Amino acid sequence: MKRTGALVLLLLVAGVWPAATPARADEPCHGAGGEQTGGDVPFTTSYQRYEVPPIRLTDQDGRQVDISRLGTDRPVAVNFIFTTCTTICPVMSASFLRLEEALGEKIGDLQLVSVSIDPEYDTPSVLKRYAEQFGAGPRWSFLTGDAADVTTALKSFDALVGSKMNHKPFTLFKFPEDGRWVRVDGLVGGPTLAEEYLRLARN
Amino acid sequence: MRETEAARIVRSSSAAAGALAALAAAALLWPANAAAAGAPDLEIGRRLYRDGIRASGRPVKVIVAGDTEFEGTQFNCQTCHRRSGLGSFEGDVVASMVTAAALYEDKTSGPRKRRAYTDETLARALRDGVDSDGQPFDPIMPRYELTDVEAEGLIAYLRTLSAQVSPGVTEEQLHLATVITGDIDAGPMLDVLQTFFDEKNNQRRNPEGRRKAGPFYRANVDQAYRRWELHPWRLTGGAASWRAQLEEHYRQQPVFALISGLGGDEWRPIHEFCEAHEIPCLLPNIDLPPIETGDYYSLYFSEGLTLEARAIASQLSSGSHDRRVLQVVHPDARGETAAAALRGALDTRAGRSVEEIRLDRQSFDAAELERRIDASDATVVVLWLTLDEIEELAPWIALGRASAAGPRIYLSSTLTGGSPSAIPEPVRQAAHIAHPFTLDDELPSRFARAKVWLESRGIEIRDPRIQAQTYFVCMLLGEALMHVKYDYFFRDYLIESIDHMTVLSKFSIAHPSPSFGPGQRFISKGCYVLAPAGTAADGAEDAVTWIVPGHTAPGSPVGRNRSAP
Repeated sequence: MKRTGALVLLLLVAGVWPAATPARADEPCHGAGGEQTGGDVPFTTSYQRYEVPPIRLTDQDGRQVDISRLGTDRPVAVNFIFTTCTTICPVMSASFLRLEEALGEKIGDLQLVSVSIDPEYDTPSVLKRYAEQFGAGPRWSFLTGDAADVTTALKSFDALVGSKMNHKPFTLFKFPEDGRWVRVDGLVGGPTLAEEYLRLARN
Repeated sequence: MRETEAARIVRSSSAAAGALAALAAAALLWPANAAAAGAPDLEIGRRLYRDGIRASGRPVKVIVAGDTEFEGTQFNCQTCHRRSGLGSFEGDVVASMVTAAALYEDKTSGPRKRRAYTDETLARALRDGVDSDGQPFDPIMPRYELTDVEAEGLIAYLRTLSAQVSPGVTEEQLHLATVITGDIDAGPMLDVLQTFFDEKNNQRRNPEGRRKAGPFYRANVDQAYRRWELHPWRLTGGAASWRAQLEEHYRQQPVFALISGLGGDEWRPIHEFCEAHEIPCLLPNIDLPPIETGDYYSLYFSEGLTLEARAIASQLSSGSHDRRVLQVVHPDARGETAAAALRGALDTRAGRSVEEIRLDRQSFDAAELERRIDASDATVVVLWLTLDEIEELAPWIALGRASAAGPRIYLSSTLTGGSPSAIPEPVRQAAHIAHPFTLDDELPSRFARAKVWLESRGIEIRDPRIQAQTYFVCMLLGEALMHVKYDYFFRDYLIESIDHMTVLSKFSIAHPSPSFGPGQRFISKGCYVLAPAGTAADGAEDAVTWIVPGHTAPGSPVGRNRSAP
């Protein structure tokens, strides 16, 4: 036990703890710690390895989506929202919409996915209405499902918070050729998110 | 309006200066004309604040997160600063207070200090995203494209937010009513309410002693103390006269909120009264709440019988084969509401038929009913019937189990008393039961805490569900009012405190998986469907399925990959 603890400590100090540290110097990030700003908003980019189980969630049109397939045959951007959220979610959703706009033709076949963290209230029809309010296009899916399945999904993305009121803003990207996920922590605007996406896509 | 204000507002309108100068002179000379000439338009402000809609009728244009332009109603002020203007938080994002009391004061504490706003710096804040000292806001606060008239209207509206303590609150008392309709025996509920109130009011306060000696004494907490006064409002006669009775009760004694309550089949007059006066109505004990009103001030445990019907529809529509549904309707508001909800939920799906048998109001003829059902070609029979009626049909229902070709039978837990274990065993072995309450076998542990509380206060447990629910509402109100500091006795703030409540849902007794959230007015969203007892053993079906209507997935079995919520 004691040895394991010491090892963990060593790894943490060395900054090579595999899953959850900010990007290392050899990772494609601006600056050493991954601290950046865009549109005056600070954010942090890091690489993560998430074990995503083959859970089926439902989109706003009632279609089933296997979350373990996300980012395997086309790039994907994922965020976590709920429709009755009072603060950060409208901003995150506006950012996604503007991400699409800012990328223009460079968007390729990027898929946008917003997962509800309040699935019992956010039924597919509630999400459909929300999607329409934001003018979401066909490449943008809003996912919900059985509460237990959504909890498992959130856990796998390290997105589970005790209460939906303690929700924090971040965006995930994944590219088919890379097994890792990229996590952008911070309330980042659409154009900045677009720049970050293009930079990551080049790497 | 005071002359100085009129002058300032007119001055800040930059366009058409000549004409405005003339108007300003007029306003100064004849203040009474100010409202007609150039006074800020509160309605413009209200629509911007609450809906994000501009004077033109278009959604307001915003810039958020530093660089993201957006035109939309999602970025109204109310979303974050809430209806009260007292703000909100989520994670580490804080939306600050935007009441006049907060804005026009120097902010000398907290991470963001600033001098008091003026109308000019406030307009600049809305448009340019900088505070009264010129410091930029957190990028989550949008910048708004507003005309002078819109900025003035919005600022005038901000001045009205939580400007006055809500009715029903005095220096020492907080008045609360509970509504009882008709001649329902309210004893079990009133015992809980009165005991809870008395106990709360009798706690020894000794504010003087604590002020002198208590190291952690905080005046703002002390200031927020009120005695809770309970006013039972019993409504008599026909429902058409209830609104007038409520108005009269309210005229005699304004109340801050309605708490708990007992109703039969009709609750809409109370609901509408509360919405009209903007009075929170917290969790009455009713089975037929008004549904899909989009209203703000009434909170219900669940959609009741409508929820049952929607859960049944959800389960039926997830089945692969065509189902011919026959509903048997007890001819009262409960039966009709449930039947209409099932019809509405099934109608949208092709390839299904819904037929109905309405029972005779005078007498129940089980044999005749059985003949009519047998003569139909229904594959699903939903019995919106009472326990008495089900008991008469018990042998026929049990017989259906013996023949594999018999129709699938559904019963309503609400109509049969709310406790499936009280339904005769042969019926339970043959029928599905929609049950929007806590499962019978989980109830004792859920109820344990309330039971101890009731018994130790000498309260006779005559109606466990009503008494448990009432106890829960008392706890909820106490918890929500804990957030009330100073004299923030504003009804909107009470609702907002409840919206943000997360911990208390674990103490819900009678209703599974409750959750709160801004704009969410039914705290329990799902319903169990119990399969016929014994079917789980042969693997044909899960014993209990939790269904949240509106979700296309067939619901999740309880106990296999998850515990009951």
